Amino acid sequence: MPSSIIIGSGPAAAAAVLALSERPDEKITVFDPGTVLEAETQEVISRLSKLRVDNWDEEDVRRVSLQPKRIQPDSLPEKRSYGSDFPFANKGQLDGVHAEGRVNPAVISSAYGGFSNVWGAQIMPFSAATFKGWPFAFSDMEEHYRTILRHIPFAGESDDLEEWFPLIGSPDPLPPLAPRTQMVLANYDRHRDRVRSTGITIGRARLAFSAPECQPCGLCMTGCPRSLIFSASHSFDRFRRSGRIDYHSGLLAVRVDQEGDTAVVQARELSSGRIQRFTADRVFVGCGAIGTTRLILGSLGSDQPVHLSESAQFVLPMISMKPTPDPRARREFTLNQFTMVIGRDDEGFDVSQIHFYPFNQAYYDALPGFLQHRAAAFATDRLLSRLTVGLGYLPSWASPKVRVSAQMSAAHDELPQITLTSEGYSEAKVRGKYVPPMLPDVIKRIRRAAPYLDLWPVTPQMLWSGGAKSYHFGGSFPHASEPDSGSATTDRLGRLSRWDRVHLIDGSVFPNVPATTFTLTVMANSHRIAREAMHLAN
Amino acid sequence: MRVGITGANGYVGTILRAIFAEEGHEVIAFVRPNRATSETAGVAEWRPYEIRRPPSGSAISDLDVLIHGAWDLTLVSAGDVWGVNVSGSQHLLRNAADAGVRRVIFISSMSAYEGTRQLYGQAKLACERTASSLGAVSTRLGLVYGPGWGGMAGALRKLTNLPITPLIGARSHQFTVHEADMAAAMVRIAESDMPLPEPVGLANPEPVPFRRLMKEIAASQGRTLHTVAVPWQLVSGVLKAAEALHVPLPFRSDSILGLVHPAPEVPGAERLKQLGIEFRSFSLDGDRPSSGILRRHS
Repeated sequence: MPSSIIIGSGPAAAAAVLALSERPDEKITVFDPGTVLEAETQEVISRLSKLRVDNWDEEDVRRVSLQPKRIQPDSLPEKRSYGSDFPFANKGQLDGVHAEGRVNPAVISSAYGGFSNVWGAQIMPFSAATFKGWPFAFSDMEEHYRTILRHIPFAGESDDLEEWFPLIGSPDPLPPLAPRTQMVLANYDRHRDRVRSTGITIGRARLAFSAPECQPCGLCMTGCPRSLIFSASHSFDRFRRSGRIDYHSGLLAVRVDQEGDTAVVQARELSSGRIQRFTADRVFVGCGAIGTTRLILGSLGSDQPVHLSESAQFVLPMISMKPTPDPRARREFTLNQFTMVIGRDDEGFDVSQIHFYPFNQAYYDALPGFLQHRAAAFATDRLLSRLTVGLGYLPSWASPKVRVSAQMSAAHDELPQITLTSEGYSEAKVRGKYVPPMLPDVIKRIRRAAPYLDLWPVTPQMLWSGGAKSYHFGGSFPHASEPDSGSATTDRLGRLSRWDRVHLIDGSVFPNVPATTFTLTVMANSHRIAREAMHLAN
Repeated sequence: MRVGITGANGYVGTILRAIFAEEGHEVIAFVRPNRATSETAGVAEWRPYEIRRPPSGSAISDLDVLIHGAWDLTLVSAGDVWGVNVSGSQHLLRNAADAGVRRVIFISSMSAYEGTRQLYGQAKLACERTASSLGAVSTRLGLVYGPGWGGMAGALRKLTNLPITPLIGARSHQFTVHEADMAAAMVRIAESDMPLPEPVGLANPEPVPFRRLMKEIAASQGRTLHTVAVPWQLVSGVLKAAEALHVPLPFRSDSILGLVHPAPEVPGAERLKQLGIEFRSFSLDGDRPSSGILRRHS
């Protein structure tokens, strides 16, 4: 009986299981640290999910809607999932991870479902042009995108974004959009040619959530009480219920290796410290790009630093001259509602992307203290009825790198210590912040389109996130066409030259990281790797 | 054919449901809930419909033709117009295409032309783009006039009843279409499978000076038109102020832009000629169809 081990339970791992489970006799073992939401909170969620929004208990709602927590100054706060920090909690996977300067240290999740418990749920494919530097083309990925979009809930609509980012599959329409979103979309349509002459294209969000079942409650960003936003844990729940996988939680992989034609994994039981050994025909490593990088460096015994490509993140508030109704009086779905693509070429390669969110409580919390005072209510009302916040990304080739330096442990069953540093791009300056040169150009284009869109960037309030904060990083062992004799690249099946039965399946194998949304391609590529590996075995 | 018409209780919708029934087609009227009228002649079935909640593909998959004419004219802000009219229309057009409806016709307006400053025209243009991408036909209706006297023509007619008619855009023009010609053209397009990827104008290509238009409307009621020229900006400003105060008015400020900045020409006349569709010149003499001008070829 063919057998596989999947390390991790995030989106990449879920996609690999999806592919492998197509073969009925494949024995699939999955393990991860498996941190889950606290039982008491889970009970609250269960209670809320059975009631209509109007009948929710206020105390229950308060409990599951705690706002994101600011961890570092001048950076986006850390999200909470139903008020819990379990996706970021250290259960041993972060021991020995050091971050320098403003680099984000919470880069490896121990959670069942990984960081998909707190993601933005945005799903767009990479543009065809993005794959020019990859050893396979968009056409090789299309069927995998399609399969993933059939597997997860998918809401989106046909619009100009399709020119570069095809709307693969049959999405459900989005729920009603906020008045400000409607206004921006209207302005874009009305002045489409002028806006597009600046390189800007605007379209509706594409989201991995069950839109038809949405009863807007304004709690998307703190965790949907009806669990309508996709998390990889939903996939694993299904795989487990169907008996398709053998799942073990409480395990942290510390070594992968290959003995003859057998893949070997050593994992530490988090409760006892005991090492368990697993073997299978193949192992698929999906610990998240930095988790995987650490595991592989330790397994290779390599102390050579590697550089991860990151699609760096910024937060850009925008003000409109024309107000829309006070958003606090409305209940919307509060995920990203529209997306702005700022293109600097004609093929959708060199683009920046900004996702715009309607009002949620975090907006209010982020206002300067004096605006939260009752005496400033008049000014605050006017501000909030004109404010939009964009979460933007630059492509990895225009962003600083994240350097991972490993220090090997003397013990064979310990993961190496790693230090994360941010490197490169400190040339351009926007309002006292050193940023990559692409960002001022992006802002310049937004300013040119501002009179038509009525969206004016407020650059003094812009936040430039520290390294590894975007969670859109990878490329430590990028796919390459040519076989590599060292440890720097992987083949199209995510294999390093040293092992032919160990496949890396997460962002660690991306040759670059565009500014486009990340997770859908992680899942599609993992699905492709697992499917092709399975055929190889046949 | 089974022909679905949204906005079937509106001025144009009423004309269309009558002509399609006369031509022997089965008319499915999509109207707002509880708006099915007692005047059911010619309507095979009434179906509830709201532009902001378009029916799914399965609810319209039994249609051979869908004519989408519904439009909420009470909305004035761009966000509302897009959120309701544009978004609702785009969803309906997509659902119809997905459901395999053979001919989908979007009722647009001569106000929709590249460069228009009118919100209504810009919104119709946005829907036309969607229609075009789906293989649907966009028909830009000129100023529809005739015995029914509804829509913009009806509003202008009321103005000519005033002792002194404020005349705005006196130097501008309109493209006009008689109710009967518009209806016959719509039937011909619905029956045909000829691809019409570009919008086609349902209007006589000869521009009618606005002053002449108003004079003839007045004359058709036995009145002599007495006018006073008024700057359109002033009227537009007054209407905007009234809209801000939610005062119901027969004219929207946005409509003023359509009167003073009309389309430069009627598109697609040659394509329509291939279908045997032409439109009579504007005249209210006797207000009857002028035989021989509208030709229909089988």
